[in-house]
Amino acid sequence: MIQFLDMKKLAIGGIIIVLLGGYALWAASRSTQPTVPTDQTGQATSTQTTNNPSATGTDTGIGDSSSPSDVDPGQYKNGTYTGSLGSAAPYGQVQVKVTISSGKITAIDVIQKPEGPGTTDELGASSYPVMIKEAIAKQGSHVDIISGATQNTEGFNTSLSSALQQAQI
Amino acid sequence: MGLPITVEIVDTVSPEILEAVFSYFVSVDERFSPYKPESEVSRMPEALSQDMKEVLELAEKTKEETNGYFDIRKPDGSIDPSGIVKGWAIKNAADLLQEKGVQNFFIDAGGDIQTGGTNAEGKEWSVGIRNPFNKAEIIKVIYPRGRGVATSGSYERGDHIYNPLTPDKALDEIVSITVIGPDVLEADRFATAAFAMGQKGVEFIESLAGFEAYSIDKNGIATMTSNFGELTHI
Repeated sequence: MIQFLDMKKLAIGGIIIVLLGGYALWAASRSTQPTVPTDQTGQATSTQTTNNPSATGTDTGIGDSSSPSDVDPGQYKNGTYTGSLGSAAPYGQVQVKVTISSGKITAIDVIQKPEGPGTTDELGASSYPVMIKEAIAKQGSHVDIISGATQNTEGFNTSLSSALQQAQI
Repeated sequence: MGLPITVEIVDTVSPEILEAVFSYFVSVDERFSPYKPESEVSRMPEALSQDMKEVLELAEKTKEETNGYFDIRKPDGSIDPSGIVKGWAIKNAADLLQEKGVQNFFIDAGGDIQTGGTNAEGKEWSVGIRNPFNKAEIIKVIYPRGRGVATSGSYERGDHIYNPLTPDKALDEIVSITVIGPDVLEADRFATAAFAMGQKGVEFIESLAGFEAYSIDKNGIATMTSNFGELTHI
């Protein structure tokens, strides 16, 4: 049984199910003992696709003192974990899969959600926002284009080069 | 516009096409910049050009669609259409390329992106979402497949991150929201509004058909719309 599933699940009037997901997990880890899922269904699998191999092995964190990077790596064991079915009665059941990479939550996937009469699926996709949360994490740097609010691309390129230099083995 | 513009064309084309695109951006800047006294925006309300009418109508439409969260009218009553002109100009430049037969390209103006076709390796264009807390990092890779991408968010000034909408206040919950829409104009105008909405921004995007978003809060937790994940793999 996975405790955090209950924390993550909010049925609001039976219409909207919001998965607090990563935040709940993270918050739980700060206030209580880590609630690492017990029914592991996969081996340690890093789903963080690091396109640039030279960037692996370094974790510069998120760079903000209040960020989840403060959580000690290793609070969670790397791997992909499927939670038990959680009830969203009377509408059905919810099940999520959590991926831990470098000791941090990197993805939460909803693999089952209520369907059928009376559920939000029937009311249309727009009334059923299953929004997923995750802790942000570095994901390689080899991309064609970059979108972000920081407009100083020159500074970005300089910083990226220096970061990659440090990352080289 | 005071921002870097990158145009990459994979197809073999005449260099004049690239020049035409950049000339277009320069002309848009000259006409729509509120910082240039001779621009059409600065000289308003003189007789409006068709383009200016189109931009103003788009701004008004966006204001209505976003319950007033998008507004080009500043508190002093003047108008700054920059929030809509950027996406509008990129879309027009992309249309220009496609009219010339260019299929494989991207245009990036300050992080607002329109892609077409595939990259030089024949693969889907990949777009990285920058970490708002560490600009050297990419935290998500998406494949927009011809759709538009725009990010609205807080800005870095030294080590300090601040909200450009309320620069003197403490940082809001949301520091960055990336929106993927049918084209870059759609993505841009709704990204600007969604950021202004704060935590409700991603829910607003969820309610729009054909849009996805990735929103990051000040604690480094991202919230994404329900079908965003489909954009993260080829």
